[in-house]
Amino acid sequence: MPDKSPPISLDIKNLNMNSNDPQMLSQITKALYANNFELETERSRIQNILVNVSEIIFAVDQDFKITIFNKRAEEVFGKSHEEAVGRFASSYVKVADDETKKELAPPDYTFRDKQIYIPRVKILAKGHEGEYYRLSSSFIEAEDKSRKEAVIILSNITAEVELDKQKDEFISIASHELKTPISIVSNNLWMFKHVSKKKFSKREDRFLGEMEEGLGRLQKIVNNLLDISRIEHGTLTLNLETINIYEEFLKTADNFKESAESKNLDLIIPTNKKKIEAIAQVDKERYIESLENFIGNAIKYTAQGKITLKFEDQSDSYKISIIDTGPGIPSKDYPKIFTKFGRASEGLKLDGATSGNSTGLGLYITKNYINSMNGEAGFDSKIGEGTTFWFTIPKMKKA
Amino acid sequence: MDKKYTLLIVEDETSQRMLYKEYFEMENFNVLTAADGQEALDVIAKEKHIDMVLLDLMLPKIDGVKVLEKIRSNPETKNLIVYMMTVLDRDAVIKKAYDLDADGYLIKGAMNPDQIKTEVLNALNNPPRKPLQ
Repeated sequence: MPDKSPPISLDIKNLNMNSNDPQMLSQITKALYANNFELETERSRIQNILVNVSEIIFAVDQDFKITIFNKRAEEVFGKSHEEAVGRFASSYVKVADDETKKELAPPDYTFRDKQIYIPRVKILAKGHEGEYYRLSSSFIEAEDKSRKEAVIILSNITAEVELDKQKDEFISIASHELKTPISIVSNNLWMFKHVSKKKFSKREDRFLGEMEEGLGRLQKIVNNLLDISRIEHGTLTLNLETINIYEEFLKTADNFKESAESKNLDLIIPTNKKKIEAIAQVDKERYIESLENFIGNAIKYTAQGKITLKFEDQSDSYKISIIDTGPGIPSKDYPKIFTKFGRASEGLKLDGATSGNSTGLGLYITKNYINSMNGEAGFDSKIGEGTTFWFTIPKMKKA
Repeated sequence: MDKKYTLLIVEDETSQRMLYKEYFEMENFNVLTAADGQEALDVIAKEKHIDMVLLDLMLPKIDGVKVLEKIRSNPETKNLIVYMMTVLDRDAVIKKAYDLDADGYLIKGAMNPDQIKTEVLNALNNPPRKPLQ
């Protein structure tokens, strides 16, 4: 780099500039040559690195004009370094966010932040349709802020994405395969009770009850895993019904009284004297499951205090909030909360979290359920004070 | 029950087939069984008095949807009451079967045999199709 000290130093300020001194002139020429040589070597070394890496690397200046365009970029975007440098990146670099399917303009992926990271992008260029890339970008800025330059790296992650797809496929097949044996066990257990003429003792009843409960949980996990593959494939279909979601909310909340009590937590359920006519179109089963996930989580992650449930009538939707006095979510975990297997790091350390029906998939599924019913889900959290999870369900449009 | 109904249970999983047979016989039904789609069609062709078919969606040889198509396309059997059975609850596949003219569907595992019987009796007592002339 230019700021690296050259092997032969030249102190220009203290030179006695006498053009008549041929020795001095030759010394200056030599030193300049060496300096330049060093710079050239350094530049070609960097150029070599850029050329030979398998990543696509390019850089843009503050006007989004290309300043560097490596060999891989030339191959993929079909423009040479000479052609590309000095041109607007938007005209040569065509990429889209795979999640939103929207084409990305240079301001979307540069200078917004010190480090920008887009997990899955597609390159909109012929011959690269089936490939997936990870985009990362960072920038440097001159001290007086007059100039800045962002370097963008696109790494090919097609193999990883393919593996991920195979994993999803495996989970889907395995879950389908599990359904038959589960159904055999549950049907035979039912038949066992049905044909048995004698009355079971309290102990026997307890054993049978435990079996049923375990089976129920197993069934739920398998259903969740199946729903995940449906979410991933975009084939989740809802069984929409028009119901009073406030009534179901109360019923579901009531079912958690016992588990809250067993942890000495106060479960505060709204006690409106007036019946709320909260009519909405939902997939009842999945709506209840969403509620169960939020309330169950709140109880699981709260060691002491209370869980407050709220049901609010907003202008065009109903908002349900689940407010706990748990440990709160560290801000570094915020982006992970609603992702697959994205349980916050603290969650794993809690005693209750390893046992029980926790697959780490709950919130990911829940958010997808709610979104597919045209609602929204989110949370606010404060370390040491607690977390509020909330979601909305749109009101029925009056015909 | 005044009339003894005849059910055809088409299910490839032996354990499930036997369980439903045993249960429905206990509940005073005549029960015929078939373990694959081809066998189901053979039984239907041979037996003239089947009141209702419980047809698994995924079957060896000829799958449930194809069997249903054949039942519906044969003038002699097109009014037969057919309920599709599946272990895949909440799935789009079941809706497809419904569109293909099944009279209803049952979810094994999510419904216990009593609940299935209730559905079956409902269908038999309120036939969804006009009886054969």
